[in-house]
Amino acid sequence: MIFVSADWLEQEENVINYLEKMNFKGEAYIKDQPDEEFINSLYGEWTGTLPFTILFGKLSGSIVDFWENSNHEQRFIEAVKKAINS
Amino acid sequence: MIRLITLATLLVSFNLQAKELDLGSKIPLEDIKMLDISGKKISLDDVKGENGLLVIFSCNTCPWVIKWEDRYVELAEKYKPKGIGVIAINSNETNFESSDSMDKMKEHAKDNNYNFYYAMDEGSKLAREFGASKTPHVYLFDKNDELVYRGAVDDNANKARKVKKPYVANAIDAMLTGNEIKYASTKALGCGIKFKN
Repeated sequence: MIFVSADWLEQEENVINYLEKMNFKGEAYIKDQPDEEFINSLYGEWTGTLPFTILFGKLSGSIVDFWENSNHEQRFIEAVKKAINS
Repeated sequence: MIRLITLATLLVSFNLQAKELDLGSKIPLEDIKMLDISGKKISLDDVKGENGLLVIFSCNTCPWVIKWEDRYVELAEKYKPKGIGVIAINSNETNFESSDSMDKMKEHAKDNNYNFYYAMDEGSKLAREFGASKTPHVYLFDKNDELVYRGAVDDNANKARKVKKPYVANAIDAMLTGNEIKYASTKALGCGIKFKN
């Protein structure tokens, strides 16, 4: 799992504190480019609405699911299963 | 053919909000009355000016709104006298009992010198119809009520003095002078609108 913060760079310390509080252990990045470039480089279909989640298949590397805004835990579980098996 | 159908099925099953209103579309739901911070019930038809209408989906707390809203005020100050009606719409229905209540909207507008309408979108009806998904999310209509611009306020939410492309201001200027709008559809980050499902 990769966490990408869309906060402004001056908030980097807050982002690190948040990740520590959440006990996050994966890779984490913070945005350092204009919004539109950032959005389109991650996924062109994304409108820029946060939060945004995208899952890639373990073997295929293809997108298996994505969504904007928050979502139910069950949706995450199903999407992760799909990613593991594709 | 099968491949095409599979792709279409996949896209439908993914979870994006409703599609953004197409450029050239007429103002949707322009007669629906919404409660404004003035206490009056107003519709987009009431708000639109002789030369156009600027609609900004917004709220009280989103960090992107907080960064950008001083520019809402500047846009209203500059373009209302030029016949552009301006309204901010709060569609965060799940927060209407808390951070986006009418009382909080009034307080927020006063604290930030709002010089335009700020109305509550009950049932998030307008946001759904516009395909608005975040705050801020801007839509500009011309004097024929047709959508000519949609997207971001400008290209730098964080620092107004570093803006290189003032998208909305440029779009209004072009619209008022009959010129082509160079960037008619843009993207920026924003907080997801809190729809009640």
